[in-house]
Amino acid sequence: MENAVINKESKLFKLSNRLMSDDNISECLTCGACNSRCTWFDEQLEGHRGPLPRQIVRMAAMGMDRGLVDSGMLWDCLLCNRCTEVCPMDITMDVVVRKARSLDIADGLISHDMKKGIKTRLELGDVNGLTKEEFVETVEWVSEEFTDDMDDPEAEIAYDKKGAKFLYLPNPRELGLNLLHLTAMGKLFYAMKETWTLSSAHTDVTNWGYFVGKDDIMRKMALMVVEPAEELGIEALVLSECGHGYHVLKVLLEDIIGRKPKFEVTSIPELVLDYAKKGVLKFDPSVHPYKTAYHDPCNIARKSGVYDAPRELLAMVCEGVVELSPNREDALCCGGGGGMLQDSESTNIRMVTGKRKAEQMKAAGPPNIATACLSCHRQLGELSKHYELGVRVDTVASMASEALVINTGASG
Amino acid sequence: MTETHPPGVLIIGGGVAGMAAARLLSGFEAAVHIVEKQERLGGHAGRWACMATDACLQCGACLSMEMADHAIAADRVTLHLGTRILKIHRNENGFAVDLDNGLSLLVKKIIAATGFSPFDATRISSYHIGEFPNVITTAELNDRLKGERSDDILGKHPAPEIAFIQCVGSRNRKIGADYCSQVCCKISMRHASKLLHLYPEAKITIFYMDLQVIGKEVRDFYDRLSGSVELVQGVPAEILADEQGEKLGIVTEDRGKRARKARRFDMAVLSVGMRPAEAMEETAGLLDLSPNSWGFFNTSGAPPHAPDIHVAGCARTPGDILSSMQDGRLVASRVIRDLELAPVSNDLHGDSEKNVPAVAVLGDGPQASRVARLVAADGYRAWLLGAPLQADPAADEPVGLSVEPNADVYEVSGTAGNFTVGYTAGGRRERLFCAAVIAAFEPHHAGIDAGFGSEKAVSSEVFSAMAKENPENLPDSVAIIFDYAGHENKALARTALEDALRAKVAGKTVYVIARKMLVHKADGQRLFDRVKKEGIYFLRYEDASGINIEKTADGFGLTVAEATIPTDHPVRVECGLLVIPPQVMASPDFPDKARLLRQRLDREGFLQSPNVRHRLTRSTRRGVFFAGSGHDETDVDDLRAETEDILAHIRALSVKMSAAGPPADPGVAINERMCAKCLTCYRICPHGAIVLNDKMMPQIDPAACFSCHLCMANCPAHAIDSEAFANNAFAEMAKKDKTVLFACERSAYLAAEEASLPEAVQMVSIPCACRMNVDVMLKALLGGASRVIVAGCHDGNCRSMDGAREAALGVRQAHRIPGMDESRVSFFSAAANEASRIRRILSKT
Amino acid sequence: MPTVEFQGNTFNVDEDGFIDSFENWNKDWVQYVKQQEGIDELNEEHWKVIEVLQDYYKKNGIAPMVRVLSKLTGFKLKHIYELFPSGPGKGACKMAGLPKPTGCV
Repeated sequence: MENAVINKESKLFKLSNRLMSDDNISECLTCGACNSRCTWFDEQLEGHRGPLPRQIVRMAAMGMDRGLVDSGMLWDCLLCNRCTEVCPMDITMDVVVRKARSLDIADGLISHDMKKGIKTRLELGDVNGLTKEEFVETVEWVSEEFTDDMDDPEAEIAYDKKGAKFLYLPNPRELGLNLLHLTAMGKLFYAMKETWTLSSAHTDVTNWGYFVGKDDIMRKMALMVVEPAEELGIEALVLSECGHGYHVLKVLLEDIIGRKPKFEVTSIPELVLDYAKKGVLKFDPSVHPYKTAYHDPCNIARKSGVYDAPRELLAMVCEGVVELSPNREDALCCGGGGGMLQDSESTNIRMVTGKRKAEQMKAAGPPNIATACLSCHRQLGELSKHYELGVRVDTVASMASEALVINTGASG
Repeated sequence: MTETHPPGVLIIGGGVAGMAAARLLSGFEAAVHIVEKQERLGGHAGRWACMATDACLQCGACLSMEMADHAIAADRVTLHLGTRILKIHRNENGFAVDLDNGLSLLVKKIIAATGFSPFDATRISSYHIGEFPNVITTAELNDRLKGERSDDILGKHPAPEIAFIQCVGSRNRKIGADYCSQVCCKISMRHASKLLHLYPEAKITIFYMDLQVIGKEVRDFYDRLSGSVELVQGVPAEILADEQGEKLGIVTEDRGKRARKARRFDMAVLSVGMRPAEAMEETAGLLDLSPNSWGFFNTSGAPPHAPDIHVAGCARTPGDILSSMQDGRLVASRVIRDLELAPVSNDLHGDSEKNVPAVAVLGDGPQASRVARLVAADGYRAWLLGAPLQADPAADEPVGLSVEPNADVYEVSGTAGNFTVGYTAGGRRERLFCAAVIAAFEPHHAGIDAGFGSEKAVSSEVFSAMAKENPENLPDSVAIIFDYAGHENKALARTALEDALRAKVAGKTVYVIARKMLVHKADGQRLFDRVKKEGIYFLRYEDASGINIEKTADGFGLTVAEATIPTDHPVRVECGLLVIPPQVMASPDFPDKARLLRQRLDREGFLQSPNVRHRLTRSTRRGVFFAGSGHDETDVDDLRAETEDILAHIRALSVKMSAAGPPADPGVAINERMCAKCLTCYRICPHGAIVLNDKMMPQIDPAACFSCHLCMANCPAHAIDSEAFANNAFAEMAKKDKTVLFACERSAYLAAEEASLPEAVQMVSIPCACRMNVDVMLKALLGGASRVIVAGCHDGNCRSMDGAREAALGVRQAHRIPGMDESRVSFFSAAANEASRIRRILSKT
Repeated sequence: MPTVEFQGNTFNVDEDGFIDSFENWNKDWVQYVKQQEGIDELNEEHWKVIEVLQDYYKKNGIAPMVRVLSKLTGFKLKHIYELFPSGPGKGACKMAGLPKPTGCV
């Protein structure tokens, strides 16, 4: 290979040294702490030994945009920020990698599914390509079944309901192949006795602009959520269990759209916990007569600082919470982060990126794991199957829904 | 409240800084109180294990034992051990201090020597300290070494694999510690040496960020260590339990490749940094001091709002044992000056102006000039010999300073308080009488003249001048390569970084290319951070062969195998100016200077041996001192501190010189009637204590004698008398059928006192192992001893330089005696802090 | 491409275990997936879902939405999950020989 010349006009260098926080890639001490922390590493497999965060930062700091793009590391990165956690200079790795992914010369690396999903999300509001008509038909049908299930004519899954207190922003799975999850969430809202709605204008909690690092796309997608929500006059936007969706809409939102939204942002597990603490929601933990380990989704835990709320809720809906080791700030990524899971051709590599997670689940012993991100949920389930772990994987909110005690009749 | 006499000085903290302050103060009319919350003196150093391998590794921890002994014995030092301070109330006479033992003290000055606390490694959960039994901190390794318990982890492995992880809790902005702790690299290098000594088959890896190879003693043993220890740049932040058993897993970069690899170890040692003392906030509250952002009281001298409170040692800034001791002395020296404390039994001192001692500063450059100015400013008569006085706009016109810029010194004879310096100047032969001599010679700076042959390749001194005077005129791009021809020098590295910033501010593109960045001093890390933040490109290389330099039309083209990116991406740097700091080397005339001063050179040829008994600034010859980069790796601030330290020593010296009573009796004297005038004693005295009197007879000057008895052991005419250690006394000393341990009073004796000795062992304290020649060993056996064991200092630790070697030689001679049972005479070396080891060695007798 | 051997048949499958091509589907494949999914016995309702999915796929080239599947089979959402515990995508579509669903699934 030709000598790499330090490029003083590097686009990436300029992007990366104009970060929102104080960090600055040129300040890298080259201490190498990050290299020991990457979630995924398979000693047996040549070529599957994980990205090297220091090489990424250093190439960026020396303006080697092309070398970095050609390194193959950009989309190997799970954006889990385990490395950032130990960086003495607090260099935020997911930001660096996303800036690098955003370079024009890196466009060719974006997976087909990712490109397609972004296109349909921008056109239709749903990465899976659900049209508004399909949304309406689906929701109305599910609502009918929901009314029957609850055996209460007042029970409904509404959309575009002005003045509702909460707007629920579902995961696209909940409107596609996993409609049961939507009704399970509906049950929780129903029991809260609060008005809630979906929105037909934006149907989706995801923001794949985050994965490709393109600020303009991220902003457009965020505004597609924010503006209709503001029109509905809701009090709070309630996010489905989605890791990157939470990080983008809860933590990054103000920076992305340049203002505060006119509503609060929370997530379904946090909201449910609030109502449980108020005594509105009651659970029967014996529905899940076992202890459950909580898996910290990187986006919710390390990147957004939420560690305790899902654990508190989980403790109310089963026999108790046990911990995987390591956990919390040091938790291992499921192996599906960084856009990996959004690429349908990634299954084989995901079984490698998730190998340490699988080993961890195996070592932990308990057969039950819950998480608060539907992507983690899917990846963990697939790991369990692939590695024949027999681990039952749930989400915290769906377990809450299962354990919910609904007082029928007037006594509630 | 009334004046108390003598004035009280409170020292908070009985670590090495506090004890060093107390030791100096104890020679003056002051009531010194040490308040220490622990039940024993010594602080961290007092708990530190001896690092000696075949030889002393010069950490200085053993000195704390002797200092504690001195503090306990000193008349005017009151110890309050296991005691805390409840309240300090400032009044017009000073401070009223309430202690929790019910006492109340009135003091004029307070010295806060409250030390540091090691970083709590449990804060970094990914190291699993406390969870994995084979992950320990340097402090824990130290305890195991000291208690001889390292086998707990390492004993079961025939060839244990050991990882040292540096910078745990240091150089970390995120945890509020963006400073280098200064000591950890040295500690780990010593620990690695020690472990290799104990486990010769061990495989040791040190994972470092920028190995801080600073200081004469470390530079020397780093070279030896780097051949036997794997040094890996890059500090892992996570330790994994290895599924295959008890090993630990560490994932690291597969250097040069775009891949990682797993390493496995039997033990990992976290090199934890220095953090402010746990009780820092309590101290700040008591004394009304404000810590800096890191939590240290980083104030040199007394803070303006609290003029009678001084901070010393690691409470001020992280430092090693020797520098903390120096800091304690500096502060005590200031206290003595501020309070105008009189020396104990002072007939002469302060008597009249004419008795102000003269100090000769020998040198050949700017450092000597600076030292001479400082000496004169402190009130001494200063003579600057061999160097011109440099202009210093910031300083006052010196009073009491004489300059002989062209002096060529050919003689330094006499003893402390009574030196004669002979020199020629402009054809004149002159003699100067002085109390003390400071040698501040310049080292040789080897520039980059060879190989490049281009004015676009310059040494950092040339670059410095350009960057300071006319940075705009520098070429558009400048590359600075550190560590290229040999070890980087901390002072030059720092200057080069400051100059790099000047160039950058002037709009130049600057590249700093380094193997390991020296970030010494509290703000060293921040300077390095600033350099990077300003947009100076920082490149790291692994060894000099990784940099290819070629001439181009505009300067140089560098191809660098950048150590943090894959090797298939060599980085190309074009520069109009190539800067390489010169190598700081021993000057070719240092051997002559050493002969002149009757001192040895260190292994690299610099003035002064690295022996901790004399460092940082003293020599084996009382009254002869060293300052500046000709003897150690120093910068401008160090030079000032060294000079102040020397002045503190001279203060202590003047106590002895002016004492009215008879001089401290060294216990040895030359018997003129028996003397053959062979002058063996004169030649071999390591302390220059033997002078020729008016009758040209050798005579021992008590003020200079350290009582090692080397002269006596070697006098062919048996003409030297000793009160306590006469040749014939040894037969009487030995108890019948006992193993007699003759232990050096400064090392093995102190350790053995802490260890309970077996019944069969009788211990005799001797002033130095060198007293033990073959004759007296045999005499002890003849006196009835079943065995004779001589225990001296580790090689390189003897105050009289070769005492232990002399004793070992005597043992070998004894073994050669026909019919001698070798087991009856033996030698071992030990340090004062090796109680456990001595107990083990003697338990086998 | 990985292959699956089952009762004398060799099926090419993708990395998620979906059959490579609808053309290669046969009833033995159904038995194979049944075993994989841990379904005890296939009843008429299972076959109805499979037929509906295949018909829809032949006509439209894509899998139907769950709502459409429910409508065409007359089964309630919950019931479809009862029939195929892995859900309509990973369970039913896989068994019917349809390609794996993509997107956020």
